[in-house]
Amino acid sequence: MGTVGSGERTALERTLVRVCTTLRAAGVPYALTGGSGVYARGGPLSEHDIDVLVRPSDADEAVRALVSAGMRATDAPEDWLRKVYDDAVPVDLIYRPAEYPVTDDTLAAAEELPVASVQAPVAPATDILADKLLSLGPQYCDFGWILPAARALREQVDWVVLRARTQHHPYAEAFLLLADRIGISTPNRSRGTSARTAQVPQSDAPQYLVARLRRALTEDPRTAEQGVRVRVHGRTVQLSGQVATTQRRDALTAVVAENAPGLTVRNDVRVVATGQPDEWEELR
Amino acid sequence: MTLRIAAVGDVHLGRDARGRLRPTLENVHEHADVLLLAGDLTQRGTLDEAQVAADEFSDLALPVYAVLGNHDYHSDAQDEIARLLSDRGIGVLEGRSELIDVAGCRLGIAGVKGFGGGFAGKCGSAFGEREMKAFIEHTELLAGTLADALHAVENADVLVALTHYSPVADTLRGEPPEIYPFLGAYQLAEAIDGARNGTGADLAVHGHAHFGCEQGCTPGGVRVRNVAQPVIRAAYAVYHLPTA
Repeated sequence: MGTVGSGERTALERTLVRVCTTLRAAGVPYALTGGSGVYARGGPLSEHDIDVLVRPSDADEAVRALVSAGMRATDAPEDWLRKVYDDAVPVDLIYRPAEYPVTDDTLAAAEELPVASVQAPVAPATDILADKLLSLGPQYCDFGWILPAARALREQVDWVVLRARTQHHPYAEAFLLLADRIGISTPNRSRGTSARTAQVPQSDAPQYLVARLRRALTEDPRTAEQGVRVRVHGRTVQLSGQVATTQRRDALTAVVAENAPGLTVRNDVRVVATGQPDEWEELR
Repeated sequence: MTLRIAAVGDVHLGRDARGRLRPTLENVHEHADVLLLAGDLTQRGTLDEAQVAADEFSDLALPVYAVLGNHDYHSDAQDEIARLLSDRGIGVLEGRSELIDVAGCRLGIAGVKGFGGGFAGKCGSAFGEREMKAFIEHTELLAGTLADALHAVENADVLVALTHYSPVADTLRGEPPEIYPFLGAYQLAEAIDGARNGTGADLAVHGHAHFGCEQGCTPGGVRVRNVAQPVIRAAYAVYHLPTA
């Protein structure tokens, strides 16, 4: 998929403006995402439709408003979006991107930005990329559109959050590896941390490995754990201690694996007991 | 007569931990007269995590008092977190105290987060670099507010100090000794021992040291209990104190 030509660009911009002004006039809360979100955030206009997030309860109203403005509704077979056409330009009203429905919180995270000749709420760059990465699959694993979008939005993306939200999704992982290897993304660390450590060259010497892993487990927002013991035995990293939930225990493995590639992680961390105490203590 | 104090610290709640403690807490009033929370209610110090903590600990059938911990400060939202908890009926003791009538006695609770610095003979001093002075001055400032807060309620029948950082090294056994200066400060114990003209408080409760142990004592003989959840391995610990 290349960048669109100037004639199509005019048509897409015209539709974008009509969608934004119509939804706002109808009082339907929305946020631009997908290609139009990337465009609003300074990226290339490279998709051939307009993607808009709406709450599931507002989808019918959004379709009605756009049809009243002269657009044409179609029956989309998908159960996560509604589709209308403005002449030949498709408009996707997405109410369940990537498994989770759009909520008030989703829309509250949007930012008012100027796009074409209007102001419109635009989803955060991290959300736009997360939804795109999570939509990749065996039938559609085209990085051709996502790559220029990720490159254009790289400073606006929170890469740590993006990694956390797309973990366990192999297509997203493949894309993030590519983004790391060609230098688009910030690998592994939060921006604050990398700015601080940039002043001190990071040693690969094994005697500093435990220090590096402990700092990563504390400072990486996915874990933020101080209460985990790290021991290195040869090629094995052993973790012990207690954390509050199974999710956090699993996040420890992920953060250590990223910071100690090639080593085996033995995660012996337990989830803390929260049952009723068996006894009390008399203090006399 | 007996006063029953339930206490827990370092619950490190977040959205993934919603409802983990609530079922056990619902009947905590059958086992205790007051519940104390020794800081690190959240994991990253965000408001949505504090909301989860408020949902876990509010509207219980007993009074609940808390101090914040270092994790609760991580996102610079400690003031909003304290306000959110207070609005939900949880008394936040950030350098202040409360005197309440409970179980037929007057209970005084003085709380402060506390800070590191180390323990007598093996501690930092307010000397040298600006950063080092700032570190120890912060410790001394908070220990000073604890002393004042204890003083304000010292006519209580039972006087309890609540901190996140440890006032003693006893309850840190199990942690590497090299990190003791990051886990607590002797100045907190000095404040606890100095209460009631040097007679001392009746109990000091803290958290923060996940690998520490439960029982300790200040140099002045005040019982110290580390209630970090990984140490007590339960929803809360319960201490019975005589009130007469």
